[in-house]
Amino acid sequence: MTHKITIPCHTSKLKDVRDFVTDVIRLFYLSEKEQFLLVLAIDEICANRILHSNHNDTNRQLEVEIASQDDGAVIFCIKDEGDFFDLNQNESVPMERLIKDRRKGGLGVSLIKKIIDSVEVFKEGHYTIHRLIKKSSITSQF
Amino acid sequence: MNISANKEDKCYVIIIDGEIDASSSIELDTAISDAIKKGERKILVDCEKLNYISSAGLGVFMSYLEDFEEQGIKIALFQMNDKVKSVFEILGLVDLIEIVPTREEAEKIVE
Repeated sequence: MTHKITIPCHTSKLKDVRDFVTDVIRLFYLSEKEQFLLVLAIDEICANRILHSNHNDTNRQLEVEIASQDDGAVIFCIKDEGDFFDLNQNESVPMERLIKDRRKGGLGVSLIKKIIDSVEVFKEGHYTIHRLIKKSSITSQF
Repeated sequence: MNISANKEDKCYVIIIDGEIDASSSIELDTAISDAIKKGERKILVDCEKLNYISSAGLGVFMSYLEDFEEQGIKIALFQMNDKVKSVFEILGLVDLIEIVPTREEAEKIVE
């Protein structure tokens, strides 16, 4: 079974994504903290896509789909028509440098990489797809 | 999300109520920036009603660490719930900014 939400590309809609992900992953036997961090990781990806690849353009849409595998892994697919950017190629800037430069950005990708087990980024037609996998030994209720 | 700020006898208190994400982090940025512009040197941040923070919120705190250091500003966050604190912990920000359980402890830190 898969679950899906589609939103306009605007950061004011991030709360809708968080509420959707929260509701769906309640179906998994994850601790509250694990659920919270998964919601955070998806929020970070969506915020990056909305701001940097879709420029907060409400004429564009972003889709988040959640599914589970038989082995208990949770699969998140984020699909949009924004610019391609592979965050796997993005080297994290050291914290000391971010602080010295008084930067407000640069932490999101680090958070995603620490929470999610693997991230694949690819093009499918004119869509950019992010496929995130969170491994789990826990069986879902799907 | 709602942010308010009160000047009290001993310190300046910023109260966060709600969720800080890429959309609302600008309000936190404004609150901290205002405190610095007013010359406040002892800042407390009440996180009791902060129930979510993303990297955008962490980035706001991070971006002022140099100003805090250079201007001798002491800041402490208090009554933060465990889930929100875990976001600070993942990136090691708990080693760079004071996060304590109670307001009393926070007041001692900024004294």
